[in-house]
Amino acid sequence: MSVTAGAPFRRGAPSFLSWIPTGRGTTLTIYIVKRLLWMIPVLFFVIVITFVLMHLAPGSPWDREGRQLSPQVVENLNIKYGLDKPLWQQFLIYVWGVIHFDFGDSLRQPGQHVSDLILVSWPYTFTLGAVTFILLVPIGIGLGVIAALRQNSLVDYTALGLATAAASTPNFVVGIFLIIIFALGMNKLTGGTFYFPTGGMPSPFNPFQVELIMPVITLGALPTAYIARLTRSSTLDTLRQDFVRTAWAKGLKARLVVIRHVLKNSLIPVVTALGPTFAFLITGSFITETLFSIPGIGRTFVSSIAARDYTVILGTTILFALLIALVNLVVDVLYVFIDPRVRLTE
Amino acid sequence: MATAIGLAHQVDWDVPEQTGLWKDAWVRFRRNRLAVAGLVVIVVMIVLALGARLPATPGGLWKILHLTNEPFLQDVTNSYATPSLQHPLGTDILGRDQLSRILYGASISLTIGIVVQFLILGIGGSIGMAAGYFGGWIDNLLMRFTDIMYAFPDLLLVLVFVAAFGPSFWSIFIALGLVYWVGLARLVRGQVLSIKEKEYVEAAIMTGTSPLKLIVKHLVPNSLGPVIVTLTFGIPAAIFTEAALSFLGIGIRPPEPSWGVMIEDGYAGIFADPRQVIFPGIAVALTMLSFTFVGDGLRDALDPRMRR
Repeated sequence: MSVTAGAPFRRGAPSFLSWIPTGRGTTLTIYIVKRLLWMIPVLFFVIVITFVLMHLAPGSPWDREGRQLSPQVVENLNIKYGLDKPLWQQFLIYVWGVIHFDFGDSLRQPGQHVSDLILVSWPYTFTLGAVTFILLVPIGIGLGVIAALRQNSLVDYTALGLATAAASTPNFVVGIFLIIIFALGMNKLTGGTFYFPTGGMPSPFNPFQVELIMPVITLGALPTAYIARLTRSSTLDTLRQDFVRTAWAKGLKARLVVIRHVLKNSLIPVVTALGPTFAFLITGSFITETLFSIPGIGRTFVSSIAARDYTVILGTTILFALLIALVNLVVDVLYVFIDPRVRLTE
Repeated sequence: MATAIGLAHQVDWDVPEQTGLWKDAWVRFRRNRLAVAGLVVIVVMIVLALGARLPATPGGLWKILHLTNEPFLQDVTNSYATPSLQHPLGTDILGRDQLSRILYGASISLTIGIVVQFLILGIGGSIGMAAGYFGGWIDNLLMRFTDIMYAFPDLLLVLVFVAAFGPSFWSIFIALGLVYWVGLARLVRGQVLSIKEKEYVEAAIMTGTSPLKLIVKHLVPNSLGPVIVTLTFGIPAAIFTEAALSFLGIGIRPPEPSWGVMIEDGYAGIFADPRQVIFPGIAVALTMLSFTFVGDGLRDALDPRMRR
């Protein structure tokens, strides 16, 4: 069979996929599969970039403050961890390991697999991030909607002012100010009977602990402000649309106009913000966990950078990149379901 | 044809008083009080930061601009001094004057924040322009590369870069440039692609305008507004990243009083004297806020369609 000029031969699935029924669902499946496959080269280059940068770095994991290891010891360590091999060989060995879900041993914590370190620390990061996320989305959207519905009122200005201040105050400054007010200040004020604890997380997976309050505010302030600002501006856009005027004109109750006509449309762009918000929760965890001494993945990553623990840096970076890629994929797919006007291309 | 052009020159066009884009933008910018306040704060801060960097030789300009004490001068007998006339913001654990350290830190933060934008403009601008202008496989390659860069969260990549280059002012500088160009490249590419479609550019191409002139005469003036706004918003981002790196102990090294270093030092001694963190913390937040206001003002001023 010959292909006639202009025939849409690329539009359907290739013939070996002909058993898949066609339709919107199939396009979606193909799209998801394509995106998942695209993740492989992305993650490969993430490994390449991080690997090369790590080995460019001055200093080695065997540097110690004070008494240095003897050259013989360093040589033996290099042989044990394969650091004596040429770089390309180390790289291939590492990638081979990653394909088999083996991320190597930590160089600075002898006998600890990188995956073990991550398994030990992820509950803390997960609890912190999940609690923050569950709180920040409704608060951010709520503030944004209220500000937009009462545009140019005192409520609007207060919400907008708070959001702008939160968006341009670094999270470590927010955290430290919280500590000064709610730990130091309250301690002094109540004579040491009531104050917020400044660190640690005694029980992971427990969302109701006092220790979480300050870290969650520290981590959540900026993304909440971001979502509030975005919701406000997209709600203002929607309020000006003709169909909203029609809804008012035909005498719908305010609650119905807002929920059925305004929110349904104005929240669509907010979904795209979830990707950057997730990335922010990850980088925010570096600072929040360091500030409040929470033994999560963020703090593991930061301390491994300082210690030049190559394998831990690589392992955590791959994990973060994979998570972000997956979240972005989920967001893009969600978008198709939420907004029927969007068609998948590519 | 030649006569027609000659005639056109002689016609006395009745043009109402022209206000250029920039004059218009300035008028709109001035109407935004927050943006003007932000600009004033920034200008004052730049002058004070310059003063803090002047060599500490007495007399002359130093007397006028170098308002305070030496940022490195230690006086251990006078540590954690409360604010006084001599030390308006008190002293730190080693008895160094806090105000002069904050002003010196301002010079580091502002330099990094502002100068990095030129590096970002260079990298992101040329990559975005090349991708948009040439299209085809070059565009594909460059955009796939920016996709890969997007897989890293900003701060993570900066951390890895700084770890690779070793902690110093210059490595932070280069790391920030190598990370933050991605957004600008995408913006410039989009601008180039949309401008390429415009009729006047097609006309210019058809009349045989050279690519260089096309870029200088049409592309640059038309995409300047959004680029300036993006770069302005990049300044607080860069200032934040520098402070965060130094706070995590991976950026500027302690004897240099960067704001992040001061906050890290102050946090270690927060139970002894919370002022050590409060003042540099306010300095970072105030600077970032000012740049955000100026960015908001510029966006509204340069793109009247965005205004509400």
